[in-house]
Amino acid sequence: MNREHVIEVREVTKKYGTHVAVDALSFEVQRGEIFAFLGPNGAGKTTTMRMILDILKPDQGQIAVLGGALTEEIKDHIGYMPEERGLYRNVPLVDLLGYLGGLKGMSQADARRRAIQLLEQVDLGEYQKKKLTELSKGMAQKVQFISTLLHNPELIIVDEPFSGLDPVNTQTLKDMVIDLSRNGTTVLMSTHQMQQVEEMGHRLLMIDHGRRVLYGPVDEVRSRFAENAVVVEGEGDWAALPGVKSVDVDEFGREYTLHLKDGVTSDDMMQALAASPVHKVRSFALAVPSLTDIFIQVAGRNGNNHG
Amino acid sequence: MSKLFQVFKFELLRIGGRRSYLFTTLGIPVLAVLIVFGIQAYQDWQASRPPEETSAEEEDSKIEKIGYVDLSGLFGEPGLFSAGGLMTSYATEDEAHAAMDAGDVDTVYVISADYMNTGAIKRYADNFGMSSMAADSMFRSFLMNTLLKGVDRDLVTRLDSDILVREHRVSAEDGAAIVKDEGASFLLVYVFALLLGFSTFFGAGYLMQNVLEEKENKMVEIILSTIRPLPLLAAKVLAAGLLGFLQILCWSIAVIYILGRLGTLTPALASISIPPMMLVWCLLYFVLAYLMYGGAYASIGALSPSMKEGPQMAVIVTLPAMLPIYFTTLFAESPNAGLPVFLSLFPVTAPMGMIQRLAVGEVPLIEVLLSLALVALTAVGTIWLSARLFRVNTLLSGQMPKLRDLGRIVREN
Repeated sequence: MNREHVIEVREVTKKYGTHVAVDALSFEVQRGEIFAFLGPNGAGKTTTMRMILDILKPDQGQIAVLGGALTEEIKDHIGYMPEERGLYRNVPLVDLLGYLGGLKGMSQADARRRAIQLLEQVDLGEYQKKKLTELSKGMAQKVQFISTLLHNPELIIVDEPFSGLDPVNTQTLKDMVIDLSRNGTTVLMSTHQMQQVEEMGHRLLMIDHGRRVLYGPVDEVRSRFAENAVVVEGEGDWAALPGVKSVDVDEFGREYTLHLKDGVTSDDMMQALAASPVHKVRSFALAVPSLTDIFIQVAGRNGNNHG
Repeated sequence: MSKLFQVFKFELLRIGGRRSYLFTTLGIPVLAVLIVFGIQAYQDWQASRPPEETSAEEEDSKIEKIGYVDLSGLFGEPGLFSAGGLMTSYATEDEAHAAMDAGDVDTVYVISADYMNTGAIKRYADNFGMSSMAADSMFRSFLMNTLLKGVDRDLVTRLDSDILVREHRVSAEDGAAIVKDEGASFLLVYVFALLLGFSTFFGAGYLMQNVLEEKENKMVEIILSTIRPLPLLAAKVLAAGLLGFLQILCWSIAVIYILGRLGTLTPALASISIPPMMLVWCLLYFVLAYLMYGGAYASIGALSPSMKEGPQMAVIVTLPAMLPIYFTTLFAESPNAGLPVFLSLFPVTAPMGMIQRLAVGEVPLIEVLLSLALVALTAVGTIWLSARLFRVNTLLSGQMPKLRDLGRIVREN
């Protein structure tokens, strides 16, 4: 296994009866990156994550995590937050987190100390002796997140970490994820919030019907889907420019998408605009589609119904 | 500290610390002991009060006075029984009734003329109760003493006393040898069989509740990403088993203490002798039965969609397991008959069945060992099955799988 690969999935297949949940899937997650795991509902993301964590066994293929097959010792270096949130509801938070830290190989004292420190970091310090039943849904989700990184794992696997959170709490958890990545922790994050992936993700994998449909650095994937066009703001007759095939304007009348003729590049267009005395340009950018557009395009092409 | 031990300790404290568990385990026995203390304190207080003075007339009125008419001519005057006006003979029924109306006697017995052939005696009284029974007993003694006049006094006393029965079972094989004194020992072992049933099912119940909770609070996926299903389940099985055992232990201590306080148990305990081997068998069956039923209950917990369905489905195990209790009479009379032998070997019914057989007679060692081996194998099977179901089913939608899908679910992971 490559030392830089924290997770290596090779030709993994998983079936439930006749239904193929994951179909010959291969990918790697590199050390220290925020890896976005995307796909429509039922695409096989949760099954894949459960196989990585050895909760489910693959029918075919190999999975290596942190240097090899998953052992009890390696599990202690992984934090996992499943999509279906759940913690013991009638146990004081500090006891609960102490127990979970203990299961990950920490001493009770260290686990409790770290739990208190993290609870304070997310403004829940005063609730350390409260039970989960006494907390709001957002607070409970923060506690769940804390339980994932309590033991300073090398790898965290989080399923929809920001769902159901208000913008303030979303930002708090986002900052924590980014800090973890900066400090060398690898993050595998499954989410439907494309905005978060664009902001935080280094690389992405999108699967559909258990198969890989998109894979690579986030910017590269977006560029791959970019058509030969530029987006400009300013004044002038854009259609009159040489090399422009057609022009679209956004609903607010501010941004113009200039679709370029074959053989004309964005550099050519920038030079043409600089040379034109009748055009004023306030902004100029490549027309790169959002991940949401790409997701809809790819998932739609594969015949998914999103309702 | 191993993960198994950490889960064991956490579950022990989490379930054992619940108010409901503490109340059931400690509260109820303490309450029972306090009630007994209260009753005893009241009795002591009553006893310490100075006795109220009663007149000789009142004392007399408490004793049933008997009048009788002897139409058989066998009995004559009351003799010693006439002391204190206790018993009076009348010539005719009318005289006797007149005496009763005047309040001279409380009960009138009329001995029929053909008493020796029929034993017929008529009794007349204003009311019938405890005092009437005492009068009957007194009159019976009078009849016996009179009829056996001249016979050795000790012999009369012996005939007039209740018989004392001590049961001894004769071995079926040789038909002659007295093999076993049952009595109090049988009682205690039988109680142990019931306790075995209660404690195993209490423990198994806690285990099922724990598995269902794990499903409902969605905690299982996080725990399973840390510890494998088998040690996880093993920790839960041990914790729930210990809690069930502690509960029964507390109740047993309370019962023994209360009976001791009431002064009824001490003599019985003195006469009890249980062969040490019997205790070994009982302990082995307790451990293996708990594991077997615990595994089955955990499987039911893993399959049940919610807390409501689980206990209802558990009847599938509980009813057959208790089957030997329904056949207690058969076990007591013919412990080596076909059905008791089958029930003591068939794993589901074996714990209750074999303990009952062992309590009432000799069981060939090979049968006991075979029964234990079968229970142990079934326990391994139910624990393994529960771990498989726990692993997969809990992670699925939470719906009850169809019967035909069970094999596939177990095989697939």
